[in-house]
Amino acid sequence: MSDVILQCTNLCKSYGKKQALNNLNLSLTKGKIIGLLGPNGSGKTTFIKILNGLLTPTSGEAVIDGKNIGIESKKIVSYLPDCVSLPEWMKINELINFYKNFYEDFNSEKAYIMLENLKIDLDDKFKTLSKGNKEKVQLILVMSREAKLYLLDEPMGGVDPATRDYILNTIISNYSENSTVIISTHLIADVEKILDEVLFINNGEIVIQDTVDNIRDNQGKSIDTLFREVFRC
Amino acid sequence: MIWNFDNDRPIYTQIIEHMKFFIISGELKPGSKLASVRDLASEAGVNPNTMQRALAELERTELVYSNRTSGRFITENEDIIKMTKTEVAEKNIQLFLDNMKKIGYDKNETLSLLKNYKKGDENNE
Amino acid sequence: MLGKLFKYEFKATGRIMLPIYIATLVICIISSVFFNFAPSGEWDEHKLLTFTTLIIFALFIFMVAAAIVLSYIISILRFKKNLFDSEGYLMNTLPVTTGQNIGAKLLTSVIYQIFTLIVAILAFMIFTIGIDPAENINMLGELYNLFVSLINHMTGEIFLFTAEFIILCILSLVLLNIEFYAAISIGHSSNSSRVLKSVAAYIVFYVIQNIIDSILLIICGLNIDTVDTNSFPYLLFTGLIIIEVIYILIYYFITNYFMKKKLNLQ
Repeated sequence: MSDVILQCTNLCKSYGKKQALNNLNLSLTKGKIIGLLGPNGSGKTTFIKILNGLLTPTSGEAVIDGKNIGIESKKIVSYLPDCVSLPEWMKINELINFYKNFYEDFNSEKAYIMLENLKIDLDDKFKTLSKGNKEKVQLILVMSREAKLYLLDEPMGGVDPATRDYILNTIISNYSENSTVIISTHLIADVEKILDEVLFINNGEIVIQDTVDNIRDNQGKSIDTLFREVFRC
Repeated sequence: MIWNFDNDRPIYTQIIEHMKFFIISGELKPGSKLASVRDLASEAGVNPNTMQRALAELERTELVYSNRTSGRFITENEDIIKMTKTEVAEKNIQLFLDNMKKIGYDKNETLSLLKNYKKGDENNE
Repeated sequence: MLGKLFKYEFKATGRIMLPIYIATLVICIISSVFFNFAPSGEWDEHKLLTFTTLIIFALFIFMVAAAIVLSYIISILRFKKNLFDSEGYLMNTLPVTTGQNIGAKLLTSVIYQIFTLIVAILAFMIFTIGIDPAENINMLGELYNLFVSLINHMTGEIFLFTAEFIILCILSLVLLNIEFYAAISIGHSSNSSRVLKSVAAYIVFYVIQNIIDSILLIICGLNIDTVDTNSFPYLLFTGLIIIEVIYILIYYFITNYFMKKKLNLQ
């Protein structure tokens, strides 16, 4: 059984004259928590959208756990967008049933436990929740799936430090050696502690791929510091 | 147990340092059972792979041993704990002496400063 | 998967349509009641009552019209909201095909649009009965008997004719919706002025369709002598059905293509 969870070969995406992804090549193995770091416009979001099927590449290919991007890959990819995307009119209970209905790998027990810990009433309508709670519910639903690849796009944007800790903790506790988590974020200092590897992306290419330990050992810097150096304005 | 990490050094080495400190300070008693890797990682706020790596290293140096079925335990070997205590103490001393040297005091001057130092013991009176 | 998507879409749309149906029927009953108590003939003597009755009646007509119009507007709005606004991040990453997403919306829309018409007819029937139960129930009873005898006397020809007519109606409904969907999918592939561009796309479709329809009409008109008068209606209907199906397929392919390849969620 191959250990490779994601294989990207010469992935390109262009919009007219603009090249969002420029021959991106990447190979990721299972059981890792990976940081996707890059400035705005570096191709982070485009890359994630290609992996979850929201965009189609101009050329090149991406293979997730041996499957091409399509229905089969969507079954094993769990995606957290950077905005709230759940139907506001549904009750929390109904949202859980929705996920259960469409995703075979959804573990409702996990979701119930996490929601109970947050004291969120299952009978509440989603639209009545505070912004912070909405984001937590979305995260809980995404992490309650036992997927092979998790794509978290800015999971901690716009929430308070305590919520950020909660989010990081949820990611750690749901870790599995059969799956890989890709976190795209700007809040590097917060997230460094839980990362195995980092990918620095710029101008649609991966410019650095290394383990966090290597970078700290060899360069004696934090990832945050290295990022600021590499992407100095 | 309180965990404080610097971002410019590998986390696993810092976990090892933390664990050594917890053991020699008695916070983790000899023979006591450790929580699972996942729980420890969650408590410390770190990647489970990193925690696993640190625990593997602690096992190698025999501060921690694992029992296939029942999990990981702190060693009951007093000698190893004492050795670790000395090791940590010497590290701290060396760090202190290095810093004093940077300020401009050599070992002898430092020793006499220590002997005449009053403030540290005031809390004990 | 289509079934699951349909179930959720049906529920989501029902939340909005059901209150509208209830409101329509309630106003229908109230209007009917007022008509009963409104004096006949002596309008001038009870001006307030007369006035109120007329207002409520107007409201009733308005509700029925509104319900029918809303059944189309809701279809369009839900298609955009659920697939192209922020909910699109959820719906378009589900392990379903684009076709299934489109199909669920189409099926739900057509069903609710037909159902709204049924509610409208029902409302008028209730209103009519309400005004003068004895006489009007009789009248409705007679209408029903007429209807039944018509069916009993239906020949194969008339049956075919009726069936084609019904199919044509349903296809027209499907075409109406899928044309809107295609326009939305094109307009929302853009970064800016998405709604404006969707409207523009719809206008373009409308114009082109009308031009093609006119050309086809002319061609038919030119060839009309070659057709024998008996089979003309069926040929016409069959022809119309084929044309509608072709249009529907074209708009479906457009919608599918733009959702698959040109999806632009923001």
